[in-house]
Amino acid sequence: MAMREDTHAKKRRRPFPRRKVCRFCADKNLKVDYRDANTLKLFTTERGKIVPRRISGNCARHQRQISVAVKRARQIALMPYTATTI
Amino acid sequence: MAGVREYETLYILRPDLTDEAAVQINDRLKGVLERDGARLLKCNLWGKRKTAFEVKKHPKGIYVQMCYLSQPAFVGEFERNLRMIEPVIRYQTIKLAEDVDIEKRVAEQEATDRAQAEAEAKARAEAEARKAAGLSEEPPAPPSHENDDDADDRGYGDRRGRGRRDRDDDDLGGERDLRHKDEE
Ligand SMILES: [Zn+2]
Repeated sequence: MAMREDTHAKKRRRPFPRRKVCRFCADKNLKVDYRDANTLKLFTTERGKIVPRRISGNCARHQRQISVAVKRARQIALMPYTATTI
Repeated sequence: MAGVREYETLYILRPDLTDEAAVQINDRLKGVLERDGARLLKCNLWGKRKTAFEVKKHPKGIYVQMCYLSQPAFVGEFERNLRMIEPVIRYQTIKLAEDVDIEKRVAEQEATDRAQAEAEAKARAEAEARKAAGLSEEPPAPPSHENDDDADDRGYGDRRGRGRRDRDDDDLGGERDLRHKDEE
């Protein structure tokens, strides 16, 4: 019974404490490329904003690279600055 | 001859341009590169694709990628030419590497180009063989830009570790665009 209480205590924090790993650290062959809009899309919201690191789970280094890459992709119209209204 | 760098310029041409006109513009820009002593590494016509937002009222654009080795001062000249060519609706130049050894890099690029061509030929041959054997109807994988990019990245070889860190540090500094600056 004691065990059950333990799990309850843990559960209080969050239903799914997914372990977040930086995708780019996990796969060394993967590179941040501003031309690859499909991959960058994973790190932006539907409206086009860059997802913060605490949500995406990226490490600082790769988050920095992603942020620069998204901005470059926006400049050359591969990604949106924001969702177009209407 | 101080600091030859590797740059990549992406530019978008008006979507209503014919293939011939696009090629003509690319040739003109190649001429500019040649005239000013820059070395062209590659010129890829990505073709027409939808832009993420309308650029000068155009919902689509013809993307062209040009990689070259040049002095830093040349980028301004190249972009000046881009601005003079009316069908170019947007462009962006990015620094890929600093202090490049021209001959070494050109040789590297030729090697990766060759490897890529061979890989494509092989894939085609395999697809043909499969078709002939009648095993499956799988279409051959079309050569994609992604493949090409990978090949390019591999080209940096043993300098990768250092080069990447450099790129991090001055990524924003290497971005040269006269039309718009990111506020961040
Ligand atoms: Zn990482």
